[in-house]
Order: sequence, then C-alpha cells, then structure tokens
Amino acid sequence: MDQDDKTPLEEEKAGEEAAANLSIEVDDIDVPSIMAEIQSRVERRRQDGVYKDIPILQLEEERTGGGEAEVSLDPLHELIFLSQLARQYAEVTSYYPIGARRSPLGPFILLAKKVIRRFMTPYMDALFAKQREFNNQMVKSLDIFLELIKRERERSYHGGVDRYSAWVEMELGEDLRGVLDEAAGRFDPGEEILELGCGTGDFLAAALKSGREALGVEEDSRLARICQERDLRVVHARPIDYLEAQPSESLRAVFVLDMGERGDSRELLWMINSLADLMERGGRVVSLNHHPRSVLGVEEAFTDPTLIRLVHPDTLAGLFSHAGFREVEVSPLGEFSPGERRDWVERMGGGHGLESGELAELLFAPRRYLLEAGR
Amino acid sequence: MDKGTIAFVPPRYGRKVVGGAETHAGMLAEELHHRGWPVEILTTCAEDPHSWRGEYEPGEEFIGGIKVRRFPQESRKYTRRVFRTEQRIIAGKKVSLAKQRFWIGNVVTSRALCDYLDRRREDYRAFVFIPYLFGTTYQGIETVPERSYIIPCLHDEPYAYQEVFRRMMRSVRGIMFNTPPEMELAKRLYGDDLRGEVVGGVAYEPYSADGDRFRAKYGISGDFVLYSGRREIFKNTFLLLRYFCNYLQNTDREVSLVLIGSGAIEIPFSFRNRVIDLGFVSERDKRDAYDAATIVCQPSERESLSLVLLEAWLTGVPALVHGDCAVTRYHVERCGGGLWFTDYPTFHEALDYLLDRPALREEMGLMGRDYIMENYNWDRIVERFSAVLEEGERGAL
Repeated sequence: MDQDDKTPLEEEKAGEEAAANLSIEVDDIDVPSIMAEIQSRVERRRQDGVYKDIPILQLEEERTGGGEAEVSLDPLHELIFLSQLARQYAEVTSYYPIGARRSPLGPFILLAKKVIRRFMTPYMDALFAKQREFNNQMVKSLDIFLELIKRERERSYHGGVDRYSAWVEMELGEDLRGVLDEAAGRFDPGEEILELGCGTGDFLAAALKSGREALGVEEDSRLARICQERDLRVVHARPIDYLEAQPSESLRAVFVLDMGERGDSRELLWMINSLADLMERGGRVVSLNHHPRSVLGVEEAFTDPTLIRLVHPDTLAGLFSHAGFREVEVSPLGEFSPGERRDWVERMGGGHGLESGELAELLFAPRRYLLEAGR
Repeated sequence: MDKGTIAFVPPRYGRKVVGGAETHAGMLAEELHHRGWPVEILTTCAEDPHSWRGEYEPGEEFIGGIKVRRFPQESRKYTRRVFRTEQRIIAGKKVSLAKQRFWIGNVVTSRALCDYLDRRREDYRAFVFIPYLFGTTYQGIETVPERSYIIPCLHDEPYAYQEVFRRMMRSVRGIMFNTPPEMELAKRLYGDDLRGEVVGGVAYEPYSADGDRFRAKYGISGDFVLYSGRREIFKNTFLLLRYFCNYLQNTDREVSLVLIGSGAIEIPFSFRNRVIDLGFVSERDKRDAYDAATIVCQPSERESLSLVLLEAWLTGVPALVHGDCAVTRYHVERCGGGLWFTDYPTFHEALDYLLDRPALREEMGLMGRDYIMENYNWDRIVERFSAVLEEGERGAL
C-alpha cells in the first residue's frame, strides 16, 4: 500500500506545496537549533546517569521503601501524627514506679532502689526540668506550625483538590455521632449495611456499635486507609463503580451520607436509579442529608467548603419514588439544643422572638433529615 | 452558489459527547449554519465511544440551531473473531479484504442511517463524513459515494494501512485534511492522486481567560505543566505521567503537573502533591487553566489537528509536544510556539530549557498565538471548504 517512490527533490517540493497552505513566519525563535542544543546536551549528560527513567510502579516502590504507601505520606497527616506522639512523651519525670520481681530478695532490692532514687532525685529533677522545658517548647512550636499549615490548607483547598479529606484531617467536620446512631438504628439488628462514600468511617463504627454489620465504599485512598486503621471494613473504590459491579437485586441495606450534596448532580440521579435496580425486594436505602429549611443549619453546613448544594427532602423523596421505591419516608433530625439556640441568638445580637415562636421555628428548624426508601 | 443541504455524518453527536472529531464536526457545522448554509447532522443514538449503547432517542432534535437526525445503531458484536481480526490489524499483520470488511462492519454501524442516505441522496448537496475509522463512515460512503466528502482525521496507525480505507478514500468526491502532514500521510498511504486539500479544521476566536482565578479556585501555585484531554493510552497520558514523575525524582524541581479532562488515571501516592488531577472541568475553568499554565504538554502521537494545542496557544502559553507526532511537531516547527521530545532525556532537557527561560516561554506563546490567529480563522476555512465541495461537484479534483 505504501507508495513511497518519490525522489528527494519531489518530496521537498511536495512538502513546500503542502506548507504553503498554512503560512507562518518564525522571526526570532530558531526551534531546530534549540532542539539541536537540547540533543547535544542529552548526549553530554547521558553518561552521568541523570536520565533515570523507570516504570512508575517501580519508582513509587523506591520512594515508599517497598510495601504499601503509608497514609502519612501527606506531610500534614505526618505532622498531626508526630505532634500527638511528641505530646505523649513530652512530660518526662523521674518518678517511675519502682518494683522488684524476685520474691525472696524483692523487699531489699526495692529498698535499695528507693534509696538510690532518693539520693539521685535532686540532680535528676534539675536535668528533667530542663528536658521538660525543652519538650514543651518543641510541642508548642509543632502546634503553631501545625496551625499555620492547617490555615494554609484551608485557604488553598477552598477550590477543590482533595477538599474533603483535607477537611476531615483538619478535624473541622460536623459532630454527627448522635444522628449517625439514629440512622444506624433504622436498619434491622444483624443486618449488613453498605455505606456509599464512608469517609473516615463514623457511620460504620456507629453501625457496628449498635449490632449491625457494615461495609464502606470510599473513593479517597487516604480516608479509606483511615477506616482500615480503625479496623473497619472498607473497599477503596468509587461508589458508582462499585454499584456498577453489583448484580441486580443483590443489596439489602444501603446508607448514604449527604446524598447529592457533593460532586456532579448527574451522579445523584444515576445513583438513585441504579440503587432501584440493585436493591432486593424489601431492601432499604437510608440517606442522611442537610435540611435546607433551617437558615442557621444551612449556614453551618456551608462552613464545609466541599459542599456544593443541598437537596430538598421533597425533591429527594420524589426522585426515589420516581425510580421505583415503594415506601419513601422523610423525618427531620438534629434539633438545635437550647444552649445552641442561645449562642446563636447572642451571635445575632439578640432580638425579641428569636428564641421561640414562628420565627425561631424557621431559624432553628432541624439541621438534617433522614430519608428511608423501601424497594 | 448551490445552497443544497450539507449533512455532516459523525458516528455520535450531542451536548454530552466529548471527542475531537465530534467537536470538529459541531464547530464547523455551526459556523456554516451562522453563515446561512443549510446544514444538518446525521448520526447515531450512541453517546459512549466504548459501549456504543443507544443513549439518545432516535428521531430529530435541534442542537445549536442545527437539525440533528438520529438513527439507531447496531449494537457492536465484539466477538472473538472481531477481536482476533483487530489484534492482527494492530500487530501490523496481513488481513484479507473480506476480513477487513467484516471487522469495519463491527465498528459502530447503522443500517437505518445507510437506508436514509440511500433514500434521500438527492435531497442533499453533500455528505461530509468524519472521522475515517468507523463503520458509519465506511458504509455511508459505500452507499452514496457520488456525494461523499470526508474529513478523515487521519493518524499514522495500523488501522490506516488497511485496504478498505484506501478504497474508501479513493471513492469519495473530496477529502478535507486538517494539516499538510495529514495530507502527506494520506498520499503516502493511498496514492498521490488522491482528491483532497488542506482545509484547516476549525477556527478559534480569541477568548478571555483568567489564570489567577484558576490558581485561586484550585489552590495551585508555582510553575505547572498542563495536560488537557482524555486520559488514555493512545493519547500517551501515562507516558507523560511516567516521564514527569521521573523528572521530579531526578531533579527535585518545584514544578507540578495538572491534569484536566475525562477518564481515569491513578496518580502514584507519593507524587500526589505534585501531580494534581482535577478531572473534568468546565469550559471556563479549562480556558483559565490554559492561561494559568506555564507550559501545555500534548504527548499524543496520533493527532490530525490537535484542538488542545490550538486552543492553548490562543492564551499565549508555549507547548511541549511529542516529536513523533507529525502534526503537532509540524505546528511547533512552523510557528516556533514550543519544543518537542522523543524520549525521556529530551523530555527532561526540553522541560528544563523552557522552565529556565520565562522570556523565551512568553515569546514562544505569542508566536503560537499569532500562528493560530493568522491561519485558523473561519473565513479561510470556509473558503477552502467551499472550494473542495465545488471542485468535487465539478469532478475536477
């Protein structure tokens, strides 16, 4: 098929004709000579071994010392861990408990140890006091350093990269313990619950505590590793990929936190429709979402920079019904406590009728709602 | 001028469809439509280029003011025989013409589309098929060769060497090439007397972009190399990732790689602070990313035009392309808008060279921008497009 029997002159002419279609003038930059310079530099430096080019897995293995990569490869995570470790060992003291294991001579050895310590204590205390001072200063420096990095992270993650894991690492997430227990209680005891997007595994832990089995699916490898460190069962995969791999009518109990509040809105519809296919008859999906009714709840919710939207309970219920779920129920959760109400009222500068009455019902409407959909 | 309807025939088309050829067809069709040409799109119901499932309903709809007629496609039967034939083609082994026909008959086809073309051939002035490597194009041209034109988007790849495509290319009224290297390749493969001209693909108007907005939104600081497009082996995305990670390991340089576009890619854990995968981003973010980037890298060896390069140059960012891709290297050689690499050492040195010279980078970016403004404008493209049609109708090409 190749018809390459042209003379060099003909080829050159053909090239010129073809090039005439697009006219370009290069005035100042001589790309071929730059490339020639680069090529000669390559030839000179090749012997020095500067161009080490190895497959990416091998490279990763070299950098992580073989084995699996540690979660703490992220410098912030590493620093949080080290600072906690340093705090544990910062308080050094000479007053360790003294004991003696051999029973016949035990009391004498114990006495001797106590005497030695009595004599040594003034000297040791002076030394330990210096060490304690040094340790405290180091821990304080680490804390300041950590705080600075956290602030920097918070600022830089406001747009989008790994935002959720950074948010969780900064321990700025909501305290959901009560409502997660409540959500876990909606499933039958002993039931195996699948959580899609399990984060650091708070719901999985709540489910286990209440006597249910739980398996999480988490896309972010750092968060999945945190779950593993907590001895929770987790699969590292995108929830939609995980669902796609499941056979029809194979799921019994599914929990989703903040359904449709992050990521692409199309994924919400996709997830509900595929859950409708995958749930077995009598199976149940429970979703815990932010309630858009509460002004203050919404304000609190959006301190999480990863949140994109809230989904109204009627909308979510409608989507589930439309997808073929027979029983769909919504119940509000997460009331503001009297103390929290007072704090908010103070923060808003006080005002008549804010703590109770119709206005308060709107301001302090429940922060969350729980949707239960039966197949 | 004859104002009969021009029908573009891509294998898939829609708002959610991402792909160079489909974008190309859409942009050209919309431009002709705005200039008063009667234009239609004839396509299948498929959206996904891998499963070719019918995501759209058959029938008519309007996209960007253009009538789109959808026809159901045959589901792709990827049997063992098809697979084996394809493997032989990819391996460069000899495959009989009958087997080539059998194979192309399994790369998305639509009997309903062919029937429509056959029935309504007199109602259209021309059918412009795009790109070459699909059953819809092959069977469509076989049905209405006397009114067929093709924008092949041809790459130097094993498929292009098959006899079925030689016959197809030689049976059309005219071929619209995107670049001179693409035309040279076609003439080398299918004969010097091929009826075709360089039309130039599509044009880009200068657009406003804000690199600072992109950096603030995604928290990215310092120099970064941008890769934009689908992440797949044929686009050399994984080669770029490997080269870049090795570059970081060898140099300890503070530079990042930012990836935007669809498709999955696993970033090695220990490089995640320097290789940032933003996934699919909005059109505005994509343009802002070009503006923010220090260098745009196009590592693909199979480009017939490279829309990414054209779009990126408009923001004045220099490019680093693969030297084995005739088209992107041609662009760079002609305009001086960047450098190229052919292996890791040249990638390493070319990247060093560009990162060390901000003034040169700026100048290269401007050269790229001037090149696009001068050569890729709609007046010239429509003029060449029209000339190919007229020549085809006269049968004089």
